[in-house]
Amino acid sequence: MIIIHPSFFLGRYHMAQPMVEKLPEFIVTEGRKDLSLEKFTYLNNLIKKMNLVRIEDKAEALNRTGIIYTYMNDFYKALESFQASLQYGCTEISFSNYLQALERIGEYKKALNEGEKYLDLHPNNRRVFQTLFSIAHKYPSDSSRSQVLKFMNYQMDSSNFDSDYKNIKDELESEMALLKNLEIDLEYYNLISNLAFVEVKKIQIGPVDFHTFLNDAAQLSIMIVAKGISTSDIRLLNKNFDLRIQELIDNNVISFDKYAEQMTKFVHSFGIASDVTEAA
Amino acid sequence: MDHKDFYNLGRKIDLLEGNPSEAELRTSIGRIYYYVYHEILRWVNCETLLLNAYYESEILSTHKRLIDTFAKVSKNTQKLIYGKICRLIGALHTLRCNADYQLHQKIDMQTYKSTLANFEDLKEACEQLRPDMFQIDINTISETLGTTQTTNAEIKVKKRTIRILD
Repeated sequence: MIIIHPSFFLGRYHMAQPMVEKLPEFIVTEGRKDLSLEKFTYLNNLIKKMNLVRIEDKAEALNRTGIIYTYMNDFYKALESFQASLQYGCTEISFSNYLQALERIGEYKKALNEGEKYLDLHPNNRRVFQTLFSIAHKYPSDSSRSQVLKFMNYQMDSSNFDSDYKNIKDELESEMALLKNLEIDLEYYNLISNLAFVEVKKIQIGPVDFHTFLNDAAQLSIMIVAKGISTSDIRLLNKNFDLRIQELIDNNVISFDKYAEQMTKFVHSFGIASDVTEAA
Repeated sequence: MDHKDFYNLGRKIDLLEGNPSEAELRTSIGRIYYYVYHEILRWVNCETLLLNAYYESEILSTHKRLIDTFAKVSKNTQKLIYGKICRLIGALHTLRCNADYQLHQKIDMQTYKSTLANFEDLKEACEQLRPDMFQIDINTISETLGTTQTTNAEIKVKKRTIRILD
């Protein structure tokens, strides 16, 4: 005889597995991150709740867990969460988040390759293309340029083609020509750009622009401009950026000679974005 | 003339009532850079290590020569602090070039604040090596100062990142 527990009828088993929790407003609001103990405690509890969801909600819960870990600057756990989310069902959002998580752990080349593989199967996907473009544009190379251009036509054919992309080809080509002309070591340049970008993303939510300018000392200057940060944040970024450089030197990832030699060719710095929205 | 007057002129906009004009902001950024330039050049001229590197260089532009001097000394001494100084001189020089030449690029109070923040870091880095430098009262401006409305920017290369969204 099968005995059915009364709680089954009361929906207790169903209630034991909650729906996916919403992300708190502060996580998705542009500006300076609040990395206080209070927020961390709250977010850790939220992650625990995300683990309890029904199997059909797993993909979304894991995607949101990845976003929470990203906010908390635990980029490796964020990557794991996005990867796990993809196992339960791949969406363009979780895939884009996965690519950005790869970028945040320094695996921008892998992110570009993974993005290319996805777009080979779904060449019209706007969101993944935007993510690929956003990453490729920060780390110029012949391969990242060709990865963007490979899928450009699919975007251009779209009825809601983004005018931001109109001059991509020329922009990418002129930038590559400039970098080659200045004899900039692209591998090194991209490594340092990634380091600077990640430092900004550790403290800020929202858009980050790379303003690149050749000054009259023939030095390429890359100012990483972020919204919602303050002058004290710039000072923190300068400090952390130099600490990361020192770590790369100490761990023999880069040589001091390379650092000093490339310094005369390009420099990275940090700035506060204008309050008024710029035209793209 | 004392080059410190460039700095004082650059910081005059802090005392203005209301929002400074874009021309005033551009002028301030330029003057602050030239104060930095002359202060560091003064340092180079009285320290053999820097002076030798400066005169070994065959670069004509004095701005580039200054940048190269610190890069060279950083390499020779294997000290990152000289590299940091080199990087921040380069950043301030670029801000000054933008302020003076790139009239279509947006320059506003945030650009001015960014200039001051980078200047403060440069000052601190220099003082680690030579404590008597930059004898000025910096008093970083309040974060709540207003901003100016300016025209849209024309940036040579612009890269935008996108957000992680739910």
